[in-house]
Amino acid sequence: MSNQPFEQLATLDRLIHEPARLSILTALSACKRADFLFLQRLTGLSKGNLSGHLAKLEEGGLVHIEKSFEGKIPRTTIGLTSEGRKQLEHHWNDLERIRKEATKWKPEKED
Amino acid sequence: MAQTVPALNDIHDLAANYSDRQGLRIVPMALALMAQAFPIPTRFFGIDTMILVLAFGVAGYFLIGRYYERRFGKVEELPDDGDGRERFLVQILLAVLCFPIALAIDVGAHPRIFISGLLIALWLIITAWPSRRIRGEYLSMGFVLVAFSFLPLAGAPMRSVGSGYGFWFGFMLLIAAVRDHISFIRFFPALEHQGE
Repeated sequence: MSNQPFEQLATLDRLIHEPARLSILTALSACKRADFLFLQRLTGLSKGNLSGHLAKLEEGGLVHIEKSFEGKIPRTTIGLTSEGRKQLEHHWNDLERIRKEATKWKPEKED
Repeated sequence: MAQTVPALNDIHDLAANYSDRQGLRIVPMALALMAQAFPIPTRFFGIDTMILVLAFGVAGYFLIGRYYERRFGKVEELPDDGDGRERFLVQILLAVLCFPIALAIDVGAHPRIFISGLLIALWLIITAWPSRRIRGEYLSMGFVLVAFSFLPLAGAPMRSVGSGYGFWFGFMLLIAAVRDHISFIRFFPALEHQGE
């Protein structure tokens, strides 16, 4: 990995680091499960955009999605997988490390 | 992503304390407490009014929870850790054992301190809020109610201290509830157009 903290930013997992997906994963990390409506209200995304992000996260094995019916009303519940929880924690640690390195970083002098 | 994005730690905090943040849920209980200060009949359709009023408070809590669920979605919170379980047990112990005893002392022995009121105030101070974060306003509310409980020492009749206590406790809860509700709804950004 490069010594330049700003270059290390480019190595972050973009599946997690994208702002909407990071918000979704952060919310899910604080609870057992949440429904689609909550995540939609939280992120302000349209149904289509949110579905797209969730599909990517599910594909990456970070979340599991359950579809059920409450009476006649369909309900989609989303939870973080154990792998998702692990990767999110790893991501936070990476961000924290980069932040610390960035505060200490000084540009190299050109000769 | 919509324009206003809440900070990630705020998102974490909201999801972890979702039901606690739904301020309107405690409004019926606050109104039930405030009702103690007004001259209401002791029985209503043969049932003790106190029980009816408390039932209204408890039922309201769950019914208003349904409103939040439909409007803002549902979150299943993580089970409490060890500390949370201990706090819950202390609350149950206070409710089941100590409060009826304190009430019996207030009614039977007419002490110079409002014991059951003092117990509730101490409960508020100790537990502050059954969530993962101490809530400042509930802590200060507890201290105000402690002061209220000592009013009989200053010569105030116990009856008026009891009803005043209920009213002000309810009123402070009401203010906190409205404040919580406003901050809850402000948390959520405006939705994107569905066509996007």
